[in-house]
Order: sequence, then structure tokens, then C-alpha cells
Amino acid sequence: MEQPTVDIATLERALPTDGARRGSVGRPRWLLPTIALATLALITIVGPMVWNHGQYEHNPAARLQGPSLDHPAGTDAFGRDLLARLLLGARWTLAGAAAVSVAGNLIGLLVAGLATRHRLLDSATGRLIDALLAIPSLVVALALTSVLGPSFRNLLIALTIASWPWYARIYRGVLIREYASDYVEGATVAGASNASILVRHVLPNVLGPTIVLVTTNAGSAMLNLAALSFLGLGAQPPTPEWGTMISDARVYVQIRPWQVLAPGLCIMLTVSVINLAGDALRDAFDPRLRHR
Amino acid sequence: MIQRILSIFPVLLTVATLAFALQAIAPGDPARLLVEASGLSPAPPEAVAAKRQELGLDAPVIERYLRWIGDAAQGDLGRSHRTYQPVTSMYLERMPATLALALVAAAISAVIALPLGILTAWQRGSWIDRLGQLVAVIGTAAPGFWVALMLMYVFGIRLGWLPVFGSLTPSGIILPAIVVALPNIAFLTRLTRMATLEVLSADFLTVARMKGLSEWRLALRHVTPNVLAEISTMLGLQLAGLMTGAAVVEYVFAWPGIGRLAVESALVRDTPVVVGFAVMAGLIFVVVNLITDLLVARLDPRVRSL
Repeated sequence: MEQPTVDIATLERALPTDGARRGSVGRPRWLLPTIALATLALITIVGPMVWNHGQYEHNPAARLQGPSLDHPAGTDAFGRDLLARLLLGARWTLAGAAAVSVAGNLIGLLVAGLATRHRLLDSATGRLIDALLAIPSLVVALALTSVLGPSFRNLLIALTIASWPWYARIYRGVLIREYASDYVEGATVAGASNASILVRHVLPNVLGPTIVLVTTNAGSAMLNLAALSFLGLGAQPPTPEWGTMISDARVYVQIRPWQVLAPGLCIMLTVSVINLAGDALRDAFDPRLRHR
Repeated sequence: MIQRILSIFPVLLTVATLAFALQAIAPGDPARLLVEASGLSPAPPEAVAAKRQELGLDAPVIERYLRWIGDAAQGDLGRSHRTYQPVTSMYLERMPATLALALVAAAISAVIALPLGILTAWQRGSWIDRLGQLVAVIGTAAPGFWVALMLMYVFGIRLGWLPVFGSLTPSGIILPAIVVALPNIAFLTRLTRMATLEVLSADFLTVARMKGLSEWRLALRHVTPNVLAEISTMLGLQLAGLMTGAAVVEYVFAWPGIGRLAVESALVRDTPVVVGFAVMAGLIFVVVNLITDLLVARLDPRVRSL
């Protein structure tokens, strides 16, 4: 009679292990994406200082040029240096996405904090969050920018309003778990005040998820920001925001496809780095969020 | 079950309330805009006054709110400030185009993401796993409108294989559907991979393996059905997202769907139509979700008690 064979290697592969968290040489996996993110931030800060080639000055004699020593990435339809505009655009896009992500997280954390303390507030904010989450954030932002009027500031406001419910929902879960934990119970028994429990025990434990969430969601904030700017509902020309630049160059795609390609590649690369850094930070510092 | 069906109404009520608030803070006098839209420009003051009366704009906020909710419940979302058409019928007209695009995109994502997700989990750590991760990273990071422009350039202008602008024809739907599907493929691949890893570690699979079943039989008979059950709820959610989240892509391809209408209305600040899109999006989301839940409850005996 044939014996059922058990292949140990296959079995092992079938079982989830935590060994995947570290690279083969023991280098922590969050190191590389974090370095990439830091490099990106450095380019954003230093880049426009080093390559400052008149991002706004029109030069009709140098319209739509190909790459040259003077203009390594060529020039746009107004003769402006494309590389200089891409570098400056990084500031607008990155700073905008960071602002939206931070503001959305703060509001979400605040709402979640209030909701976990008062039952009535909890059900009211719960309703609001359910409704806002039923509508894609891009649609919420689209309606808000249309009503508020197109400008970069209004776009940031709109994207923040569209994003906080996601954070509020996650923070609510985190806070409820923290308040139910043994150490909070211990502190309460020991006679600690509500404020001291919040500041000394709960908030430090929420900090990890916060850093992770801010990073993870900056990527989607950046995509929405670029999309609405592309439509003309955000940053306005001549601002070198990447989405706006794609919209400007769209007309010339047949003769200068590079002008459309380059800002898009910048967005894709930046969002990839942010997403990978977010994933890596989550795996490293807050594995509990992994199965969110 | 009844409870689940009833649970959609509070969400819809809140969505309608938010829509009312948005219209209330929108600039411009709706009465004057509507009179102008109906063909009288510049609007005569008496016509505007009559319109104000008709819309009840001078009534207290609470009365206007109740009126809006009552109208919305009957499917009346007001009229466009530009074309004077009823908002609801504008969207209903364009719904088939959007539904077609969403279904084709959903089919493309399922055909690519499900096998890729299962395969990457099965071959964890191999080159195909890395390929799957690359697809996931690029799919989530590439801006849809930009991918659309690039595909239009390569396949429409340079190669001339496909029409540049979307149309309701088999060849016209391919490019828009691919762009709409891309982030979905990325998300679904990751989800399927995670669900598969979970199934792969289940006890019943170890037993099946010990019985000496072949890998193919395991994959088709034991793993795939369980993975499908795990992710079926998400598939429904995705369909709702495909219908309303494709607005910018619809706009770039000039696709005659609801998203393009919303974007074009946002650009000319036609508030009732834009706000109407938010209401439609909320409605699509809760209805599609409800149907998915009910279907899943029918198909999967483990959640039938719902």
C-alpha cells in the first residue's frame, strides 16, 4: 500500500512564519525604504537650491527643447527648464501630501479620542464616518473643491476633509484597545488621573500607529492631489505642481511625450517610495496593523 | 437579514444631509442661476423672485432641509445650474456607460489578480512573488490620469491600434478599462495573496496534503474556493469603487459616463450636479454592498446566519 508522503519543505512553506521580516543578511527591512524616503526629502529640500534655473521665467526662444547641457531635461512650452520645475514641483506635491496626511490624522485622532470617551458622540461621529466612507475620497474632494473654488489651499482643505474619517475609524479601534489594556487598568487602580493616563500611557502607545498611518496614507493623498490639480481644481499654472505640469504638457504630447512622461514618473516613483516606507515601518513597528 | 437591509438608510440619510450642507455653502444664488439656465439671461428680477418662491429658498433652514430630504427620497436631486436638466436623469442616462466600463475593468482585474495572488502565495519568496509585488507597487503608485495619457499616446497615436478616445465599442473600451483596473489589480493581488496564505496554513489543508493529494488538486479543489469565499465581499466593494472612483479616467478618455459628467460639472461649478454625484456614489456604494452581502450569505454557509 502506498504511504502518504509528507514533504516537510512544502509544509513549512504552507505555514506562516515571521522570518520574512528580516532580510537574508539580518539587515532590518525598513532600512532601505526609509533611506530612500530620506533621500527623496533631501532632494526636495536641496534640489531647487542647487538647480535654480528660472522655474517661472518665460523664454520663447527656447520653447520645447530636447535635453541639452543647459537643460538636462529639456524645456517646456514656455521655455522654462523642466528639471528645475520638476525639482520645485517636488516641494509642492510632497509638502501638500504631507500637510493633508498630518492634518487628516490629527483630526481623525481627535475625533476618535472624543468618540471613545462619550457614547453619544461616538454614535454621532460613527454615522458621519459611515456616510463619508461610503463616498470615494476623490469624489468628496471633487465636490468640495468645486464648491470652495479652485486653489491649492482649498484643495488641501478638501483632501483633509475627505481623508480624516479613514483615520478616525482606525484610531477608534486603537484607542479602545489601549484603554481596555491591563496597564491602563493598573494606572487607574493606582489612582492616576484621566489626563495623566492619556498623556503618559495611551498617547505614547498611539504614536507608533500614527507614524505608520501618516506615511502609508501620504501616498494616496499625493495621488488625489495630483489628479485634482491635473483637472485644474488645485494648484494653478504657473505653479510647478506635478499634476498641473502634466495638464500643461498634455497638448504637446505628440511632439514632446517626455514632458508628460517625466512628471508622472516623478509621482509614481515618489508614491512608490512612500508606500514601501509605510509598509516597512508598519511591519517593523506595528505588526498589529498588518491585517487591517 | 432585514436588519442588514434597514442599516443602509441611516447612511443614505447622512449622505443626503452632507449634500444639503454642501449646497448651502456653495456660492451664488441658486434661483438666479436656475432662471439663467432655463434660457432667460440676464435673469429678470421677477422671474428670480418667483423661482425663489417655488424653491422655497426664503423658508427657514430646517424647512428647506426637510424638503430636500423628501425630494431626494423620491429621486429628485434638483436641476443643473447650467442645462436646467434634472440631475437624476442626467446621471441615469450615463449610468450604462459607467456600468459597462466597471464590469469590464472588474473582469480584467479578476482574471489577472486572482491567479497572480494565489500563485504568489503558493510560490512565496520566488521570482513570481517578487513580480507580483512589483505589479502591486506600480499599480497603486501610478496616477490613473497619467497612465491613461501614456497609453493613449502609445496605443492610440504611435501605434494606432486603438481609438484614442473611449467609446462604447469593444475596441474603445479596452484602454479605459485597463487604466481603471490597474489599481484594482494591485489591491486584489495583495488581498488574494494574503487570503491564500491564510488558507494554506489551515488545518484542513494539512490533512488534505497528508492524504497525498496532488498540488493541482489542492489548488483547485481546496484552496481556490476558500480564497474566493474570503475575498468575495471585497470584490463587491471594488465594483462600487470602480463605478465612482473612475471619474478622472472617464474624463481623460471622454468616456460618456457619470464620472466625466461630475468632473465637467465640477469644472464649471455646477453645484447640484456635483453634489448629486456624491449622493449617487453613496447610493451605489451601499446598494452594491448590500447585494454583495446578501449574495455572500447565500453562497457561503458559514455566514448564512447573518
